[in-house]
Amino acid sequence: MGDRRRGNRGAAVGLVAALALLPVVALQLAAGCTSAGDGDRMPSGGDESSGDLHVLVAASLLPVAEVLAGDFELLHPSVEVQIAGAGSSALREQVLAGAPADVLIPADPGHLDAIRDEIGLADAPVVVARNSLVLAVPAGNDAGVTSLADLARPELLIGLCAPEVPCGALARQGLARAGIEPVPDTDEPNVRALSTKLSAGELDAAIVYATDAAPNANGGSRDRTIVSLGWTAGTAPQASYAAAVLSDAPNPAAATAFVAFLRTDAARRAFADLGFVVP
Amino acid sequence: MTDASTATSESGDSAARRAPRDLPPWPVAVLAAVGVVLFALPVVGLAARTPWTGLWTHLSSRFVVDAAVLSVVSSVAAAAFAAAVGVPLAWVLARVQFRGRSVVRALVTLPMVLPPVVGGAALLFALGRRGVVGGPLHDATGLLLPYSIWGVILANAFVATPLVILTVEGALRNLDRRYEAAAATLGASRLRTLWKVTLPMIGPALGVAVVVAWARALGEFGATVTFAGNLGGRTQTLPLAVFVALESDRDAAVAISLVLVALSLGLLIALRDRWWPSR
Repeated sequence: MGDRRRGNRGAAVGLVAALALLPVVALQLAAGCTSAGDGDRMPSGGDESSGDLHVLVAASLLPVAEVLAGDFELLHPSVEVQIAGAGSSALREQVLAGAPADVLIPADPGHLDAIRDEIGLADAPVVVARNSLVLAVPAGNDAGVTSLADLARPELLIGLCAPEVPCGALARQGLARAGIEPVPDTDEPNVRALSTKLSAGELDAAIVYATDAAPNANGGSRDRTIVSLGWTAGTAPQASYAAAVLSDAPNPAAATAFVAFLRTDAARRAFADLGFVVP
Repeated sequence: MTDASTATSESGDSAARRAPRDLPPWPVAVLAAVGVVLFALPVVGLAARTPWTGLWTHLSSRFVVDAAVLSVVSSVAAAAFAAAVGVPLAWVLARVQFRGRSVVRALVTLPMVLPPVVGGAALLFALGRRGVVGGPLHDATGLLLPYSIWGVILANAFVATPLVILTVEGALRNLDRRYEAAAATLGASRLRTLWKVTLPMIGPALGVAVVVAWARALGEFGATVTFAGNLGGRTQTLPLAVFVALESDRDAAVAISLVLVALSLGLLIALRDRWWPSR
């Protein structure tokens, strides 16, 4: 009885395996067709910039990127800007895995190195904005935090970004320079999660970007829930956002125009309004 | 009773053996194959990316071991909680007529449809230090659920318990209640009937429910990171470790993912043979 059972199962497995190959083959064929068709998707060279423009930005840039995309579209009505935001290393992985992208703006220019090596960049990256780290407390500051040294008080609830992400790495470098050993209760995987906990009052202090504690953060409509105390020990560490056009950008004309636009006064004002430092 | 249920399943088994065992009709086979491919492809992709040579170095690091221990402890605890609370709740929902029963059922199954991050944020607003319930609790006892293993277990249980409730309620509704009636006429108390008759009869369903709940808890990410935060050795489970490792060290992330897959797959296979005897 046992043998018969096994025999049946073997036949079934064989059938399933054979059938399983069919969709794989089909998928590969489909993939081949798509990449073959990529060349046809190139925008017409006649108009300087038109068509879709895919811009991948660091998560901390998302709010300002939406504003900038709108402004750019007013200047170039035939361009449709598609903004996508994620953690900087997630962006890198997406691009390396073949996500459609014309312009990439991570929070750490180091992420562009891998892309330059594997895919290539059309031009040298251009720093379009910087973001200072600040010591921030929830509105009210019930714990009476005054300086970065308070991050070493074990009785307080302290949050940092994880050392693996730019805001966490920069914060730790800055604290080390100031001779402060923080005792975090959580290493949040991204700065949005960190500022959410801070604004809910579930942390006494955290190190976030100036833009997270800026008056205009969260659209500026709500009461301020996070208050910046600045960087109380010397020069604040800064993240810098460098924009780069990929060498295989499907829409290079619009991509170049967009990066140039990021250096204009209008774009610089939009950055500054949301708490960024503009070069 | 255990004997009786074994006998039932054996007679069911032999009935199945007498049934015709043809190859599946082709639409069934094709769709089944699509399903297999869908679930096998990611595992293949993971294996293809695995750094097999340095695997052991990655896996034996303190970071991974701490996360694995925390994951096993918290997911088992969450599954135990899910069974302890979910079974009584399922019994009430299946057997007791009361106003608002459908509201209660919808409420307890809400975590299944809610994005886990939203669930975690809701837990934080309810049970955090400034939470509706957590605030007074913290003031009175100094108890703080976020940033502790208790917070991890609670977040895991929050998403896992509905799976037990739904599965067990379904099993209770399909139960032949004459066995319970017989036990009652023989003088068994309601609690004794539940313990000696009802529970053994829904044993297989309960087993499935607990395994699924455990698996859900083991893979839980969003609610955990939002409610309990992320700190190595305290609240960083394997999924959280994978997420932050992805930011800096893809090889480590892939290695940890492989542990997670192997652990889950191994236990699911082992438990399947335990609870649903193969035919």
